[in-house]
Amino acid sequence: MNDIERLITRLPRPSPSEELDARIAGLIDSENGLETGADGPLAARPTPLHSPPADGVRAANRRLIVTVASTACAGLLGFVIGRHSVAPVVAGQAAIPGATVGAVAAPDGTPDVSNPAVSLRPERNIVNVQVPESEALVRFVMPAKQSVGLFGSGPLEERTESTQLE
Amino acid sequence: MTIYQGMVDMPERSWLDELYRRQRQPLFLIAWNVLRCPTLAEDAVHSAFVRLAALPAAPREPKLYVFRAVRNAAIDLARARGRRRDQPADALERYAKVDAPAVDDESLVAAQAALEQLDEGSREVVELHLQASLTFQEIAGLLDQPLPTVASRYRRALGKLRELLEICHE
Repeated sequence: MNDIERLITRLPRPSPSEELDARIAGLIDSENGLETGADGPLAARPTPLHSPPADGVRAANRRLIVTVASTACAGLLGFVIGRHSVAPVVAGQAAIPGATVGAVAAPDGTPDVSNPAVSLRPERNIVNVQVPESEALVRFVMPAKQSVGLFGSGPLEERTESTQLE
Repeated sequence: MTIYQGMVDMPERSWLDELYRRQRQPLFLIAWNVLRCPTLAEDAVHSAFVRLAALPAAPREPKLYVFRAVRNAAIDLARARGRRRDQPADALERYAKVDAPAVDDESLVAAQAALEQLDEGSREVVELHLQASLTFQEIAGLLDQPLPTVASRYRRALGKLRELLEICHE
């Protein structure tokens, strides 16, 4: 120990009072009284200040379990949604007006168009929706018939009667 | 089997009582180093022991465990008082000036002044080692720092103290 250390060691510092000793002694005695079943003044037991190392291990295990469970749930949810999104519509469940059962490729690759509603097995049925052109779906989805005439391009108008000029 | 795996079964709180009787001065100084007020330091020690007494069994390293509990209780108390509106931020500094024991010797006054000029971490290491008589290993465990860091901080603090005291003597 050098001179600086000796100097610092000589610095006066406060000491704990006897009151603190009495408080700690009373605290420990009362806690022992609670252990033996006597009525002590400490009714509530606060949680420890520091978690022991075992708590850290348990917390890490809990976090790992929660992470794995969350990942598994997310994967399962994605699987169900993905499977539902690509599931074929069974003919019996089709409620679209005008929908008929269409032909699907046979195992050898050639479509069976002779009697598709009968020839197909129920689990292989796929709906072939035939929507009339007056339906809104066709107006928005299908491109309009175009024609190029003398005065530019425009929608093709089919006229059955001849005009007055003609 | 105990609730906490890192603990040793002990039927009573005798370990806590014995530890307090042996380490009462270091425990008090650990809290005092944070709070700089004897009354608050005693409150911090008491608060920590309230929680320690509720442990179902003795920790595996009781001394270090209790030291850390007391220091954390002191830090919590300092933060709680710092958050109060009626307690200004420099309340702890005022406590330091009001409640520090009087120093008569001129060299001790200079040493006290030089010690106060150190940064908080270095001053804490010096005081814990020289006044609370904690080993570097215990200080490293208490402050949760590597042992070489604590030792080098102590050496640098002593060098700084030497410089400051030489300046004072000049």
